[in-house]
Amino acid sequence: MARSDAPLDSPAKHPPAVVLGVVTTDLLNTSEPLPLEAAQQALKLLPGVAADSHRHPVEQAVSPDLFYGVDCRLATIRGAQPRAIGTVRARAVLTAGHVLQGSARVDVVLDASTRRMPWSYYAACTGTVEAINKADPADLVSGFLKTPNGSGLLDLGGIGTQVMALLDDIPQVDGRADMRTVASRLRWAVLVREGVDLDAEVVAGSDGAFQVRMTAPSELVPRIVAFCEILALHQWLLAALKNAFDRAGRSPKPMDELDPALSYLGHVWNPTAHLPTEIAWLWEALEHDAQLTWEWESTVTRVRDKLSLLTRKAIEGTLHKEFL
Amino acid sequence: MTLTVSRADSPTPIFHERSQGTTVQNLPLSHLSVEVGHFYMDELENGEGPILAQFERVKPWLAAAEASVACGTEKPRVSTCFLIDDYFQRKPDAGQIIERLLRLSRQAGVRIDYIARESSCAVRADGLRVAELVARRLLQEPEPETSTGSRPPALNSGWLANGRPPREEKVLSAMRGHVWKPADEFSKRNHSIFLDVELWRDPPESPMDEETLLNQRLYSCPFLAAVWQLVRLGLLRNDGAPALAVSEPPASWPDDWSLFPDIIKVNPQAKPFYAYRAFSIMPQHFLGIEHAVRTIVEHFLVDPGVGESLHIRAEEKNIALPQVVADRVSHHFLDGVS
Repeated sequence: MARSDAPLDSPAKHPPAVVLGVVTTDLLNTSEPLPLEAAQQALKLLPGVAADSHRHPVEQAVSPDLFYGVDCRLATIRGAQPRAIGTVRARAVLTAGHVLQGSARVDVVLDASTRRMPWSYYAACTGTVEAINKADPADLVSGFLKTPNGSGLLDLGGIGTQVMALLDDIPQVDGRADMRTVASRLRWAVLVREGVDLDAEVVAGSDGAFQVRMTAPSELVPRIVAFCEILALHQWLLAALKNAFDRAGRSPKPMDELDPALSYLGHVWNPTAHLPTEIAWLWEALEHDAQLTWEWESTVTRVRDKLSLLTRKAIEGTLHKEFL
Repeated sequence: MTLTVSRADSPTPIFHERSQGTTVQNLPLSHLSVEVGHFYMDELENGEGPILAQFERVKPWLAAAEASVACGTEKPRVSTCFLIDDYFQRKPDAGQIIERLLRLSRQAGVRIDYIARESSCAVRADGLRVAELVARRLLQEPEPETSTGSRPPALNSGWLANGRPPREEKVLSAMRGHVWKPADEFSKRNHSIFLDVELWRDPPESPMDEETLLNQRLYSCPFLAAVWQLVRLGLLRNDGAPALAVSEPPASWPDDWSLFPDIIKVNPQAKPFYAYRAFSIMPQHFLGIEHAVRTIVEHFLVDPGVGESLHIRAEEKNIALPQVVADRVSHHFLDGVS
């Protein structure tokens, strides 16, 4: 994203009551990871603005923000679904040249207007939707987290997927990834309260998908976005490696599952790599309870053990044949 | 699991990595940029009388603009500019035309600080596609109540509308097979003024690659004028720098327009070219074009970093700067001369 020299979080005209987001994560469909220079080129999704990037400790490129116009309903649990109009902000993040994320989010402003305003009004306040009906912020947070999709409802996951699809047809991507993966979606929502301490709850659903619910002051939102993208990345890494291990157990050619999984993903785990320092404690607290890094390491060990076992068997098989 | 932990003091980081993202430049800014008249190329080629007459009618409005500029706590800074219409017609006597233009404006008492070329609003002198910086940042208005974000936005037709066009709808009735539905302006007040603007035209057969396609794309007059307004407002950037930069005048005027810099500072004492607000004085027959320009500008999404840098500076100097970009642009339309 283009930045001014100014502080990151300048006050908006109407502060948001709620911030909603979805991070979709999957493998970039290409046989070899993109070198950083190619990733920067690929993620230059707008002319005139360069992609942000880091080379250390894990290569990462972040596209400029793109905006999508919406006029639809927001999910609720108790109250009527309010109509919201404005633009959703979305960006693509490519980590280690191979793991692609579409990250969409929107600031929800309440009680600013009661009808659809001229489009220039929304164009001047990008990344924000205004609900033109009454709504309870806490109800919007619960509704968003508990209603993954529904007819006529804001589809942040769909927007994230569209951003990811922009990378399908570029020349750097050959469409021949050797590994089968499933896209995962992390939904997150922040109830904005100025002057309070950050309060967070991370829930792993029965389908394995993670959800994050927070109460936080608006100045923390950019860091929360980074945190949720990092969490989504690592939850996906863990699931993708475990899936590959499980598939290897059922497959007649287990090496074909384990080999690409290890070479594509084995080196990517580093949750604190680009974690903003202001929010690093949150990851530590999460590690204390969920021990994701321990789970990753033990899964990598299992994959490596299995690989060496299979290799030993293969060698023995060959030797056995030679002796016969 | 619920985590409620207080934030520990974070130590000062010792490792910094220069990120290769874009940093927005702070531009020198006037409070107001005044466009002092406009002519089609053939009008510039013909007699001097009408040119002089238009400049004479511009003069009092320029004075009025200078007298009423919103400048907060600062001394007013107003710059003037003139856009040469060299995109649709090019004649090989550029030097002569510029000299005549400057002479007649001086004679009428109208100061011209900067001269810019309309062609540069499409592709600038070094080949950068300036128009595409705008084209890729236009967002079609979402249809009321049905736009959830599930469908990708479409702006590939080269047209931009402020609503839904009139159409015929099939109905399940034996009596009437079709029902006519009128056009609908999405942000109407009671009644619609539906506008559908042609932004550009591509060659009829376009199976070629993007590069070839863009080389042959013909931008419309309102589209290039919208680029021009956004450039004047300092909102159009390439890698953080202005998309069109100001140059000193060449030692002598070339005869070929394509050899001219994008924007030329013809008055050494001129205040900055870019400005918080833009005012254009032009004959009334441009009203339709400027309506289209406004519609395009209303659908343009400013890069967040660029918009913010202007707002922060305006706030520091107590200068009122409208959030809505189209509200920073105003016009005076001169009525008929004869």
